[in-house]
Amino acid sequence: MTRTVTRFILVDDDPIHLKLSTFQIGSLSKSISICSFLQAEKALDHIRSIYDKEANTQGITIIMLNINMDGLSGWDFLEVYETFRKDWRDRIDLFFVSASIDPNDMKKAHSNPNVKDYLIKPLNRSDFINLIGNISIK
Amino acid sequence: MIPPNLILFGLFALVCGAVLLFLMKKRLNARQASTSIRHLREPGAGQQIIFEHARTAYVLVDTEFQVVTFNHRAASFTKAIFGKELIEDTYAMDYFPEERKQPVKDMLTKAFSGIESGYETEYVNDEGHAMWYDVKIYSTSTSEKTAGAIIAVRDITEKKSMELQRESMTAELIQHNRNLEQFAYIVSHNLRAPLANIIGLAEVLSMPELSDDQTQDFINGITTSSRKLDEVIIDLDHILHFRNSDYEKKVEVNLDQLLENIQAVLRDVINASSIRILSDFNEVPCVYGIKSYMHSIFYNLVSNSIKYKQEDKELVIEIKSRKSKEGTELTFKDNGLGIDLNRAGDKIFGLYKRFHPDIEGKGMGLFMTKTQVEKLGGRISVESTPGEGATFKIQLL
Repeated sequence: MTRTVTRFILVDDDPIHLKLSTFQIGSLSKSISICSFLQAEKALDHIRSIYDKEANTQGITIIMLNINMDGLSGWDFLEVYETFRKDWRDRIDLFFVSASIDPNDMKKAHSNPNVKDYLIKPLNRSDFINLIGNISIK
Repeated sequence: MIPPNLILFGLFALVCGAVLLFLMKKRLNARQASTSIRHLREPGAGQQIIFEHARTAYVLVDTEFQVVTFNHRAASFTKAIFGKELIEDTYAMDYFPEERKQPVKDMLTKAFSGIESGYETEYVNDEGHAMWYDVKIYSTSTSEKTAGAIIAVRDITEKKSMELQRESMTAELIQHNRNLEQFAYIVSHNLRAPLANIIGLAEVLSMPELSDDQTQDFINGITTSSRKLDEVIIDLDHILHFRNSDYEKKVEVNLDQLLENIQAVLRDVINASSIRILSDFNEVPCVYGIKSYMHSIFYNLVSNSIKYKQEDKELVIEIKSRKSKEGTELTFKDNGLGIDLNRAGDKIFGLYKRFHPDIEGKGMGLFMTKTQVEKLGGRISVESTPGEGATFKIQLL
């Protein structure tokens, strides 16, 4: 079964990173919708609102979540995310994105079943091609 | 030829001499013995002296928990710790504080059947010093008929205080190491974040499909990220430089004067909104510390209160100094936004940690404040209820 990525949700408190990622994804596909959030709380609210409405839509959402954020961190986001209904999470691939090359963060992320992978900034074009084309990394 | 009566006389003289010598020697021995402690070899005598002079307190208790006998040290410990006179034929449990009675009784009961036990305990003695004692309780005999127990108490205050000192040093080192690890982590993250942006932006700038607006946008991004990177490097330089600066001398810092200076520096901000600063430095008007650190601590805490004030409410900052067990306690209390400490925890003093994303800030202030307080040999803590305000407490030596 092929899985098609239909949406990106970007969560990062760095506006330049959001701008860059949005541009990279947009340059690869015009049909994928992209929502970006500077604050984790707002992204969580958004996810709740869309999944309530579109219970049966197909397609995969990719969440790119920064770990080190003011306010709610990526880990805090993950804690809330884990309480979401399983049928929502089945249609979401969540990736951690960080500039940190701290091995503890990576280990912790890799051991969490809800985190698909740990991506280290900077992300280049081929990283995004991989995300869109081959989402089943794990 | 020697006449026989002369031989007889000679023999007589010899015998007399020997007897005399024997008697003299005996007297001499007796005199020597009276000035030495050899007589203590006689049964019981020496043991008694050793017992009385032992550094360990010994109390012998019978199976009815009655005090049978004790040594001098036991009497002085009882006086110093419990403020009581130790007396023979009294109920042993009566000497112990309420909470100790049952456990000691249990241990004595165990000792009667041959099981040794013990514990370490802390008491404040009659001079108000905290003293540590090692207590051992064990059986006097294996035979049931003569069963009794010995309570042996040793003063281990010196050993214990060294142990505690070592423990606190270890804890301090662990904390220090954790801080350094945290610091390394932050360096890695906060240096890499803007750098990653520059690399990413440089890559997209080479893509052909860019519009002029986009190109300009990304170039601006590179400028912003480069500045950010430079800022982090300047911060790090500042922190590292500060950590190595011990050249400033400690002086008497007048707190009223210090606060006046801070208010002068912040005058524009204070005048712009409704802010009231109340201070009470009567109990401790001056502290002994490095002036620039004290200035920075006051500045950071006051300007933080102002920064995180409640929009529609007059901000009241109360600053007080008072004598504390360790030295001086400074409190900074405000009625501002406060902070959710369940969430922030000890990260509140972390470098580049921010808890109010909507309000401008770098996450340096409280980190520097904590570092400076610790440099002065003090500690800082915080209490807060979100929506009601925050109180920072500083303990200075």
